[in-house]
Amino acid sequence: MKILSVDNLTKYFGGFAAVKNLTFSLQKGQITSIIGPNGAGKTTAIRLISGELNPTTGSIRLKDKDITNSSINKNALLGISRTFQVPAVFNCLTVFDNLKMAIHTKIKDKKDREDRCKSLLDEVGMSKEMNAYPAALPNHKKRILEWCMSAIQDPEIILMDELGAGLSDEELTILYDHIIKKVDKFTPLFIEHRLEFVFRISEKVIVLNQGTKLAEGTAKEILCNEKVKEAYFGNNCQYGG
Amino acid sequence: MIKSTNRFNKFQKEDILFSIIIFAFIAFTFFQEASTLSLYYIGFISNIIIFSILSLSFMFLYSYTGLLSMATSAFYMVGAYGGIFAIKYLGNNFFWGLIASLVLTGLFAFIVGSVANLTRGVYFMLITLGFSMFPYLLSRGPLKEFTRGQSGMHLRKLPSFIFCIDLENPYSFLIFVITILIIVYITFRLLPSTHFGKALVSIKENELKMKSLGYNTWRIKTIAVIINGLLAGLSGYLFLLKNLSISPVMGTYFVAAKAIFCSLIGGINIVLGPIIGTLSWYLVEEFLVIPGFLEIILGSGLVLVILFFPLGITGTLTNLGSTTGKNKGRGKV
Repeated sequence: MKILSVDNLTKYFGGFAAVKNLTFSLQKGQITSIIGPNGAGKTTAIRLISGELNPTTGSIRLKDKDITNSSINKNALLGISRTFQVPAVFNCLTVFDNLKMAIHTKIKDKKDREDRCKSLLDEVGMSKEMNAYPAALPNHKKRILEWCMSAIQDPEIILMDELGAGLSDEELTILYDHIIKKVDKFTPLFIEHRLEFVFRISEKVIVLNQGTKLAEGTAKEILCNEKVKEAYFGNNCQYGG
Repeated sequence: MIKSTNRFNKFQKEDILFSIIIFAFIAFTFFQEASTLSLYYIGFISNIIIFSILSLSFMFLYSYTGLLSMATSAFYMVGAYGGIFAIKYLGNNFFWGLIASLVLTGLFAFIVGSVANLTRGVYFMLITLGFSMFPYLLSRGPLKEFTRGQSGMHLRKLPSFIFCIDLENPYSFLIFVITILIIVYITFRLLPSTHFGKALVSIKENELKMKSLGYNTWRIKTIAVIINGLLAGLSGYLFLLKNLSISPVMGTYFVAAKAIFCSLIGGINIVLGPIIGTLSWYLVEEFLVIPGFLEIILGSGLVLVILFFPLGITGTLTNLGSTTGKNKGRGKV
């Protein structure tokens, strides 16, 4: 089932096209990743889909609803959740309060809210840190907490911007395990630089370069794609044997 | 450098300090009443408390929500003028004045907040600065037939009040404003443990994240500006009742700057801060009278406090002896 479709998305900053004619769609329950060299427009794409920026031209549809010019808080209520490059958790609130802050917009009943927060914390194994402040947590737990803040809102899609930044392989594996367990409920869209993880878990990979889509396909197709190799490593062979 | 909200739940050193100050005020009142000395210092303390409420309203907006509003003084003036118009034209009753001043400042704060919150940071401050000139210029220009321009307005007789409190008696008036201060203080201390308070500090920390969680941050921030306005308006109305005479000078940005000054030297991240700051301003003004040197003393005091005690007087006092909280809040000012 097609859950999100992006058509000819273009965003200009002045005369510079950060994203140009980007077209792709997300299927429910399918793990999709966007990769690309620095400055390829990956984060801009996420900012456009989440509603932080409005596109210059093009359209975004969530299921059957047009959300092209919707704002970020409306999109959040419709079911597009987002995590940030630097884990955005509230250091002024406890872990439990962070979750309560996230769920407050979705569920009105107070008892229900607290039960859901507690059960989610149990699930990810963070119930011991319930009353700790995020500043005291290691980086991967902050990432888990931020993902929990998205997951507890019961969104359709979670856009995850560079989840792996600053994490070790083991920590990232733990994090991915939690996410993959819930893939059927929340469709993830990853932006990732850690290619070994991208190719291991993604069912679909989209490669961006200089704002345009270079290739799209399964991990194997992308790995064999000559254009992708050129974008990442260039076609200059003078250093090679 | 975490400003945790949990610390608000517990009884802290600042609460003890606050109780001591309130106790000192009340003890002083009874001592004065018994000794039948001059009433001057009773009025002096009332003025301190009324201005403390104004500083608290500024502190609320800046410290909880991260908005630096220069319109505080305009709300102060609108509150006072709203009160005097209601008392003149609707009837000499305390509650008419109170309702009118709160409704007018609430409306004005809604307009200011809804426009200024479309922007952020220094632009917010500049827009509130622009709005803060409105009441001042209106009262001196187009509305001067009603407001009597620069010469200001005067109440001949204090409004009547129920609950057997006689506002004309300076002692009972002082107890009345102390009660209001205590209510405001307790409300602000308890606020961060409510969801609304947590939402405010979260907006201060990361507004984009709050938006991406589905919060309409514009609305929450506008409500914060309205609360700031209502409190400043209440303070202006109390000023009217205390001094019976108001003038457009109340609405100039010097008054807002004074409220900011008091919050800064007292300690911006602590509810008690603005009260201590206002107290020190008035004490310096009253007892260190060297003609022409007042501003120099206050200004250099501000520089010294910001450089060496970034937590303000209160923050430094309450942090004495604690090793963990050292330098907490440095650079926040």
